[in-house]
Amino acid sequence: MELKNWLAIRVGVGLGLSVLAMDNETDLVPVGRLSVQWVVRLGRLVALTCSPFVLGPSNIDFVYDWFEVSPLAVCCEYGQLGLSFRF
Amino acid sequence: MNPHICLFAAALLASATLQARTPELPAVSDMPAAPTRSAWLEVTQLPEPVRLQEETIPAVQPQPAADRLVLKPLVTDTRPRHTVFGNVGAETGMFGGGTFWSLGYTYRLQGDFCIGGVVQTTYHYGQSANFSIRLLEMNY
Repeated sequence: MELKNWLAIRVGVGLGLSVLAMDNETDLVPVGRLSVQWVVRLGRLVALTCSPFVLGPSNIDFVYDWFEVSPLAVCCEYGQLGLSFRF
Repeated sequence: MNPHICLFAAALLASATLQARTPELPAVSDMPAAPTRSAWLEVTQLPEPVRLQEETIPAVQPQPAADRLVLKPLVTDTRPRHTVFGNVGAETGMFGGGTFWSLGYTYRLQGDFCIGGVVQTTYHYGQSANFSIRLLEMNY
């Protein structure tokens, strides 16, 4: 969603598979993702992304792990800062 | 029915709805290259019958719309095909919190619909790291 010429908020929902490798185990679990990011355009190609609130969740993952006692887990990415190239 | 399966189905439906919502726009990488000024002058100097066939080219405007797009430095109204991104931050998760870095790539198929992958390494505070790969379809 374009707010200004240089500023946008990018909202997305996603579905997918996640492979988690811990030191002693590997899990293949389905994951749902809700993603909200500020996008500061630095040029036609490059953009800076950060969390919607400076210390708020940006990518919220819903992980469904069959082998756990409570299989649904929520992971949030806080204080995220990124660089994206779109072409 | 299992509530988690219901949630998963609801997320799938929402995803499909978002995908169907927006009409397709051409990406910059799909557009033909904008004609240069010299090429344009060549076209305008062609003999009369050929110039009459080019009805779609505006006669008064010296530069076509695609050319103006290239000149504007921050134009973002197009949807790019490829996205490469990297993130750093902190996260809370199944195995406690930690700082992470991640690298990802998405390819836009149609509309807002992208497929992509993210590799992520999370460092738990003072403890081991874990590594994850996510393959996602996203609606951006």
